[in-house]
Amino acid sequence: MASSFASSSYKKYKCLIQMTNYEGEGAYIVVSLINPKGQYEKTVYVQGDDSEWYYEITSWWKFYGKKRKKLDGITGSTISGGERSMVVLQIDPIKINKGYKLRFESAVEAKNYYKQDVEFSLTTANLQKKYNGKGFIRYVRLFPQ
Amino acid sequence: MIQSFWRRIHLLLVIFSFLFLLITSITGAILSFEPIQNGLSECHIDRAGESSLSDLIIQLEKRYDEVFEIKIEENEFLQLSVITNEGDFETFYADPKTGEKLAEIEERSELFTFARTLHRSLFLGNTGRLIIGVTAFLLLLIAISGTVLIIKRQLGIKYFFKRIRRDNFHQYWHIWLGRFSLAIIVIISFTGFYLSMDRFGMLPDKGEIKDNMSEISFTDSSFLMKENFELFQTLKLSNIQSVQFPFSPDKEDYFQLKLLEKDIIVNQFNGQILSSEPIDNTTLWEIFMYNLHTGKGSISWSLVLCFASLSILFFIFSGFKMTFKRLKGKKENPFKAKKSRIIILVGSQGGATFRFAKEFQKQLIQSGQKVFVDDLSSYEVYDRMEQLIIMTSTYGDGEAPTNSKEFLQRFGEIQQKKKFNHAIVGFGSTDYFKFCQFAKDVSFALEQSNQSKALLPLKLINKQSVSEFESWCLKWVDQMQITSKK
Repeated sequence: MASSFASSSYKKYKCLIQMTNYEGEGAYIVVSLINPKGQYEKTVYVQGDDSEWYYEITSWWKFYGKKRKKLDGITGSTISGGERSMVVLQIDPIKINKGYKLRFESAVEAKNYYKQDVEFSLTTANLQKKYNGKGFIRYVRLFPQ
Repeated sequence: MIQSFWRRIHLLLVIFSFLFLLITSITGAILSFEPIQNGLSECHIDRAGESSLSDLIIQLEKRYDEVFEIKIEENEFLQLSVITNEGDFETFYADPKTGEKLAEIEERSELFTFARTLHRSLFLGNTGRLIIGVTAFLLLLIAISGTVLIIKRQLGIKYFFKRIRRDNFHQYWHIWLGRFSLAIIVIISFTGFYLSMDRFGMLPDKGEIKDNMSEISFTDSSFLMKENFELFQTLKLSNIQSVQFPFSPDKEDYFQLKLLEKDIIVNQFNGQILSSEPIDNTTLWEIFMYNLHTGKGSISWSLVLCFASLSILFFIFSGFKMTFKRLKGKKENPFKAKKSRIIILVGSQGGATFRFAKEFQKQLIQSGQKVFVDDLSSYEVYDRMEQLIIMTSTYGDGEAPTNSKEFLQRFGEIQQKKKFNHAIVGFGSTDYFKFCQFAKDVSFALEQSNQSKALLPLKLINKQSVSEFESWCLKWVDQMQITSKK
């Protein structure tokens, strides 16, 4: 967990993920940095520590699954329907206000998968707002540290 | 007939499931050590179960820049999500007394993780989970049919824990162990089956989780330090599942607590309870089933589960041994017990008497008779028995050989459907003072009952004399023909 690598140069944002009241297993949520071309550039956070199920997050898996770099310090355990979790997202400041996006994907085993449960442009103003989700996420709130 | 029906069911179920049973019981035995190891861990909440939430918060305020969440993972380990004084966001296991970081989250044993995945899903995802669910159900049926078999064998439920007839090692211990672990295996298989049904959404839905936000009203605007909240001072750590701290100092943010039996929302400025929602019964029941299946939270129950897992391995091994022995026995007995008119029961310590019996059986079968040979202790109801021949040696000081110890008792308990003739041959040596004592005892017991008549008087043979035996056989055949002609 001690992820002090480059963390000093990164900006930190508190992030609250509130789930909808769905039935079923804990949801896997992946937060990724999407570049202006719409491609995955970096995995920012993974909610779900059992890599056995990562392939269910299909779109991200195409990016991550090839190399499967270690997700040191950016994973947490799954959360279920109605639950919420607070995490810290580390964002490289040079990516802010440059046409990048932050994407929240969500999947629940044997249920659904939402490629863009929450997605918004990475701007200074957007990084302190609340976003309603389209899938298992009810809303996401961000707050600069 | 009924017994062989249940035995066949019992065997058939095992044949379908034994591979998966092997895997699940080995991994199950390994996994049973996890709660034991956990119970001894330094992060275990039992070390500070009586401390209040305030006590812990005071410690955490000293140590960390900001606390996001206090979680008592699976009611056992204190897990913290904090911002450290260095500004890093970290989640780790901590000492419940001091809040000091003790271990990384990843530091859970790879052996347990591997064993758990194999135990739950065979590394096959949902397919594997389904297979395991079916296996759990089959195990339940195996345990039930096993119970029926023991009851039948012990001749009634009230004799369930009575002494077991000792035929051979595998059979004896299969039953002996079965009596103790059957109940536990029923619990393991039922809870395992329940957990997988739950997994596939086959159980009733939980109550709708309420949307708390909209209902909250802030009536009290007083302000207190959070360690002074009355609720936090009285709340024991052992009652808590998780405490989520307010996301921001914003008025709409609050403490969200998950206790053992309810979810509550607490005003972040004064500790006032804003909403309280009991955890529904389905969830509580599910937790109970989970704990029962895994032994979580109880070292002694984990040991019991370990014992039961290992006993399953022994059952599979000894059960197959018995089956192979029975199949072999069938070959030697061309006619079933129920179909045979002549039953030869043998009391033999070393097997010598069996050779005499087998020889006689062969001759009788050649002359067109249906003959069945078995251990003397296996005496049961024989539907078509007309002639009963008992050939027995004596063991030790005039006692029954090992395979005959239960005969006298069973003879007293079992009533044949029709009358029959008996003939008894004792094998022994006149060197011993109690020459053929057991054969005499058997003869006496048969004479006392009114179930049968003696076809020939008791015959005692000294030092396995073949000629004496052969002449007795001829005499017996003559006598039988005379009686059946009448």
